[in-house]
Amino acid sequence: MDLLGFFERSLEFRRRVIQHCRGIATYENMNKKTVLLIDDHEALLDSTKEFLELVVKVNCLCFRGLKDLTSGWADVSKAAPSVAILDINLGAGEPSGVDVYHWLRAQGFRGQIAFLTGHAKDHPLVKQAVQINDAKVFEKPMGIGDLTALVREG
Amino acid sequence: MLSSRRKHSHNLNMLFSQGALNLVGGFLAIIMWGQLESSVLDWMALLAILSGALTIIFVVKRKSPLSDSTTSLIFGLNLIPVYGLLWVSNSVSSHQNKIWVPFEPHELACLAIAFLAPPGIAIGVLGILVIPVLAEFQYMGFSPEQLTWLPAHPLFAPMAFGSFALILYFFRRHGVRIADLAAKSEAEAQAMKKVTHAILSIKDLANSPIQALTLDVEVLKLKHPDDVPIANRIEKSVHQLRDLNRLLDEHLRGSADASIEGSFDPYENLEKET
Repeated sequence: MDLLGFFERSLEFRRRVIQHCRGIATYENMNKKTVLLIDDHEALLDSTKEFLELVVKVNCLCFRGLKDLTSGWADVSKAAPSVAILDINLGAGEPSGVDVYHWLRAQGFRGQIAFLTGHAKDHPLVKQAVQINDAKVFEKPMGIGDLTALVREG
Repeated sequence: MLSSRRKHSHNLNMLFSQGALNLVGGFLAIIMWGQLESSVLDWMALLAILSGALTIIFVVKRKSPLSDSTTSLIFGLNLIPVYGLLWVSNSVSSHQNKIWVPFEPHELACLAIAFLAPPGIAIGVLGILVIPVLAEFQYMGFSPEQLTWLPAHPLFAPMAFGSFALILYFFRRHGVRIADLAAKSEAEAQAMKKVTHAILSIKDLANSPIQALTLDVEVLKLKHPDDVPIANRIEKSVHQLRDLNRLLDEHLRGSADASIEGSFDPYENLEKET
């Protein structure tokens, strides 16, 4: 009888522990920063997301371009990302990262915005990005330290 | 490439102008000196017309470019009936036994050669020098009676025009050389623009995978501590690729093409440049 009671108590304890942990996990997730990633290179999006979630402990929302972002904007505005990392060249015929920047600001996005580019600094698109006062421009490949600092500070 | 194409088309234009001048000059000679009633003069004029017409037909029918040496050869051949016409016209005029001004057409011929001669220095200089030399020889061959019908210092004009034509020819050659240099620089700038486009596209294609690898190496190290040596090897290779990227940046500095204003497809760019 006592043994059965012991098992019942331990099961109840386990259930409470799991519930508690789930609560903590949900609480942590709710308090985690969200980072908005926009790049037309799918593998890079996956790698950046995995790295940031594992190392910097942030949530990531990934999009491949402005079209993709506008269709998923409801989720983005709910998550209220504090940092947006935008690739400058988002593919032929597609709006550039600079266009995405203007769109985000027009939607009332107040977070830190950083551009990532594979081009030289004197490329016209990069020059346009550099002229934006409240955005940072990083050249690909961006160092691990720079990326981590950008997301933590944002 | 561009410079050479331009030069070849210039060669054809030059020969066309020379052919047209021979044709017109031949007809004018028949009209002007017809009253002298010299069959040799008529034959020379016909030869000039024939050479002019053949040159024009050759240039019009020619589809491929023409080399400098061939241009010089045709130019030289076209000058033969002109020299003949100059010699015969003066020779016939000297037998009229009346006052006449010799070597007048020589002056015009000197200037025409200076304006039209190919840039090859030998044909240009020789073509001009032959005219005052011909005048000199012809003057030396005049009998004392023929000389009495001539004005004072008749050789002064062909000599002066010959010298003037030489200066004009060298000045024109200099201009052609400058135009060639400008065309060459333009061709080089075009080639440089192509290389810049290609490098920009390569950079754009290469940088995202390098960035992804840089991040994946860190994830690999954290998730699989046993595989750290593998991760380190990948990291070393990624560093080499980053160094290559830096070298490309050095190459591109100051040469970005302002015509790229929006997003672009690097694959399409590379295909366009090759």
